[in-house]
Amino acid sequence: MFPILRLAFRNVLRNKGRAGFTVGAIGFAVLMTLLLGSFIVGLGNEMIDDVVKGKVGSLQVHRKGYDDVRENQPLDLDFAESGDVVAKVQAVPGVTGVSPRLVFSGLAANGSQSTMIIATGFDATAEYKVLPRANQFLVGKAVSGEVANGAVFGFDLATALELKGGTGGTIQAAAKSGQQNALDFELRGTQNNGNAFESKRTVSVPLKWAQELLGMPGRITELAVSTADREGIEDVAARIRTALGPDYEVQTWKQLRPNVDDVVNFQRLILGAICSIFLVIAIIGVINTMLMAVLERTREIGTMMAVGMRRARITELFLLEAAALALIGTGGGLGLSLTIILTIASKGGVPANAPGSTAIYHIIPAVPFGLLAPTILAAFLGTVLAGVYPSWRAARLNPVDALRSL
Amino acid sequence: MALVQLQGIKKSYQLGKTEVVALKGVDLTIDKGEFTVVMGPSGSGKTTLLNIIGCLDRASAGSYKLDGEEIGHRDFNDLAEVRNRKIGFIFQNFNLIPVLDVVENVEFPCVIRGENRKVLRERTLKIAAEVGLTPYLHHKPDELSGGQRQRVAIARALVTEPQLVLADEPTANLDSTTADQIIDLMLKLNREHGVTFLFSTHDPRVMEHARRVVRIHDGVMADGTEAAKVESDRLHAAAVH
Repeated sequence: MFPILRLAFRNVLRNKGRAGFTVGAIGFAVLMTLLLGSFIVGLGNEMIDDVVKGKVGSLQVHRKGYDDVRENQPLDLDFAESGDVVAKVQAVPGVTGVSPRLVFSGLAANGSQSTMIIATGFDATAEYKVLPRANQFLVGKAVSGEVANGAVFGFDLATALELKGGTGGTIQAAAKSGQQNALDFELRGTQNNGNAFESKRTVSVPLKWAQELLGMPGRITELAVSTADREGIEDVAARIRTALGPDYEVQTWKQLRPNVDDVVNFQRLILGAICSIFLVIAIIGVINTMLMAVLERTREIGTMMAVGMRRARITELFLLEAAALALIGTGGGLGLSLTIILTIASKGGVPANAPGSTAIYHIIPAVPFGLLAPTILAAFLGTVLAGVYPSWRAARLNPVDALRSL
Repeated sequence: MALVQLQGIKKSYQLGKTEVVALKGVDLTIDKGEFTVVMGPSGSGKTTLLNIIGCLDRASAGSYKLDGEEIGHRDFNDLAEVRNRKIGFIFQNFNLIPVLDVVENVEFPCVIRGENRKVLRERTLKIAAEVGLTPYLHHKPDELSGGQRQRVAIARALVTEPQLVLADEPTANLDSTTADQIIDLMLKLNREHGVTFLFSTHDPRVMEHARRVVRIHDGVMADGTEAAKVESDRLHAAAVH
């Protein structure tokens, strides 16, 4: 081994307690960053998957202007269920599934009480292909082709109307023509994903049933679309826009649920801030260790200077010592954090609430690949940089004064 | 032939607002192969003089030639090079590097100048044998006695094949028997290798063996160089007989 490097490693180990503390601080910073990062990334993934694979799809297609009046669930901005639009979307590379939907508002009644609802009619086969997690919080049976009037209610809504599986009621809605229609439904199951609004107001019904209720056979108001991967959503959206032209609008899940994207980004910002604090604490520890080393070894530095060691080599020696601390600390922290992350992930993650929800999710910590390189780099370079000032002080010592030191 | 030539060397320090003058104009010439002692009371300036001769410090004024080359005004790295190539140091406190073993300590000055390791190792083992360190080659300094540590320091000073070895109170921390052995060793190395030794010491045993004693008092040579040389010649002759 290069003699100076060997000397640096031996110097690091000469005060094992202090070196251990410093290495521990660096390792702790790396461990906490990656561990926290793995859970933040895991939680973010869970929240995004909940939206993308459980509620809205990767993106949605509507007639132009729909988004401006979305709150009214307009029926006049409709299009054909099996026409040119659906075919064009299905043909776009990157699209893996398309679910035609008819979204409307109305009243659900149990015979004695009624309440306002927002309902989505969909074809079960297409819907569950686009939203594989649509029924993750389902109790009972899902909407399917088997029962033509089978509906799934939000849990609080079903409770308020005193509905149970197998019981039924009536849903009343204004048809596209303006005429009020009502159809009987049978409650198949309830959904309780912890979102209060969805639990109190939403209903899922078969598409054909909704079309019959609203007098809109073969018509829909939106397409929920799934894509091959989450990263390529923007590109797929752009291709669909090009394919459909200006009469249709395409919105990704980020535009449909901006709060989820904001929460995920905010979590990552907080993560960055917390990790920076850990790193600063570790760096202060390194500076302290290195300054102590310079102080304790002043006469030794003087001796090395006396026998002809140049200032640059003295700097190099102390920087190598800092690098050795960085290497051991970063490597240890990295190994430990990966072990913990992979162990927890292999055991199915940890249960937790997503923000804004009372439902229990299982957060599976994911190795934060995006964080790995910055964390390792920041810990390593931060530690080495922390050694710069002590190294500079060591190299600037006057040999005579250094030799006189006790 | 002159190895060290000092002319009008002055050294002053600034201590707060006070200027402390350590050397007030020293003229000194040391020939190659000499075994010379600088003596004087504490605060007389002998350590400052040795520091300047050892290129550890620079004079405020005057001329310093080592082996005919003016080196008094060179920068830090040049002086480091001079120390590495031409000067060996033996310190009162041995000043060994605790994490290195005997061989590594001895080789250290040559390693930092990138010398061929095989050639260096042969020379190290030879010198280690000469100073009696062969059984302790892989011992760490804290596993050695004071006398053994000083032998390591001597070997380290000689391994670079310097022209001048400076020894600052080399026997001060040794018992009398060990001190005698160390003095004998240095005398032997002086005779056999022709290395010039310059000591700062209060030890009368070292002075007994010195061929020349240079006295310094309050930053000036207490007596003329020639007078000192006559005295040291007399001491040397007495010691030999």
